[in-house]
Amino acid sequence: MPDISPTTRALRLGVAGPVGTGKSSLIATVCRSLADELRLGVITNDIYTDEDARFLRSAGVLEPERIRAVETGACPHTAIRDDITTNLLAAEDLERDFAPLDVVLIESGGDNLTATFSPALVDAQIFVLDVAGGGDVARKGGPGIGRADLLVVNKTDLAPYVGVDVPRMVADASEAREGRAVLALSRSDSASVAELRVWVLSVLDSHRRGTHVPQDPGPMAPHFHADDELPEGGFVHSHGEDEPESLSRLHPHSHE
Amino acid sequence: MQPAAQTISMLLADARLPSGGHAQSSGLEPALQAGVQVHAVPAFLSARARTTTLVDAATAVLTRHAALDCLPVAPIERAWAARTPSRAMRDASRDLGRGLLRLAGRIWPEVGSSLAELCGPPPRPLVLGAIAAHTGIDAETLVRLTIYEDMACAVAALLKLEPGDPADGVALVIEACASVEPQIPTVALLTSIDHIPAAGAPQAEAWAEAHALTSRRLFRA
Repeated sequence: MPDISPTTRALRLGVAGPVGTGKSSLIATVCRSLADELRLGVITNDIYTDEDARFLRSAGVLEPERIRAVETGACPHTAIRDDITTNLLAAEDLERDFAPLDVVLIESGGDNLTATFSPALVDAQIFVLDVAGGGDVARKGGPGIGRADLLVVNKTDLAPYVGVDVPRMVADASEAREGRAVLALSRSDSASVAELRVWVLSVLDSHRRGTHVPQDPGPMAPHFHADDELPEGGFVHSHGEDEPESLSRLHPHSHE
Repeated sequence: MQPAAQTISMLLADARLPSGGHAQSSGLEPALQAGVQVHAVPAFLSARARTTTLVDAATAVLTRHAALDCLPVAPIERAWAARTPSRAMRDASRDLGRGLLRLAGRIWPEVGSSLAELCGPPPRPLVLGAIAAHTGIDAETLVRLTIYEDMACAVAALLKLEPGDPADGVALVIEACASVEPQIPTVALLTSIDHIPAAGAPQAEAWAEAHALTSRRLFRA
């Protein structure tokens, strides 16, 4: 089966993040704010299949046919990174059935902080945290927090109830991300929704101009290797394209 | 530069091969959902192996022949579909075939040409047969590969659905594969479409149909 030519290929935008941080709700928000000007499709990856797809269909933000669910065999992590086949086929089907589409949003099944999309599946990805998960999560880092194209700190309207300092959490996140984009979002705060809308449009624009290059946040966050023989008791080590070859030879280990 | 055919067959049998298999259960989730108890899983597997799985294995063998001799494969697909009456099962096989063909397109681009005459996505055994033809895998290995992959897929799903000792799962795969070992040489020698076994599994087919309509499931089929 031939790949769809680049001209009809939508921007594929992944939405990842731990369970319950508001990924489906964020997708509904994106759809609500852009459905009038863009042709959208949505793929959900659930643990139990179509829970999120049903939520989105019932939200009435898109025609129900444009929202599809794929099974993940209880491995939502695998389905967006190690074996992306099912999602790729679903994206190609959506792009064919509703051609031309502008954006296909792919929602990962809620997983842990290490789950990010393969750049072979999505062109850009949003990682979603929420204030209710705790103000310190952004500091904990991880590939999604550190290197997703956009980090969303969601449900800021709940901050007073859970005792989280939103500006502090955003500052922690910005530091962990070395200046990459961070957005404090609440679906009831229209200014933040407008910022999200502008971000999606800007990525779409650079995708169309061919200047957007998909980034791989990587499957593993930088982590510490204990080694008593080293002066500082070990070393911090990350797995990226910039990984020095000497380090990987020195300390080979599996990332599974 | 390609490794030996034996290595390719191991690669195709590896559950980590990125071709969509991790979302499938070889009919096991439908069976459990319909009330099959864990103690009956060995019986389910051996029944599946000698019916659905052997039909697939024979289909793969015939496709390998057709691809080697540049014969049409459409009649093989029709014969397979006639022996796979459940639409849900056919759809699951086509999903797997499409995923595998997508991967094959990257690794062995010539495989697609053997299946080009088919209109829709080819079922998995046709893709396996075509890959075997292009990579030098012999018919008997192809049969064993088809059986092993189907059984291992079911048992991997079992560990998610009814968690138990993974070592017990390995024993289940071995037992299920051994249960059809006597038929393998005969299936590997098939050269006529009419001789593809027509062993139906109507109960499992009904379970597959019911499963396709449920909204809470972990696996595609």
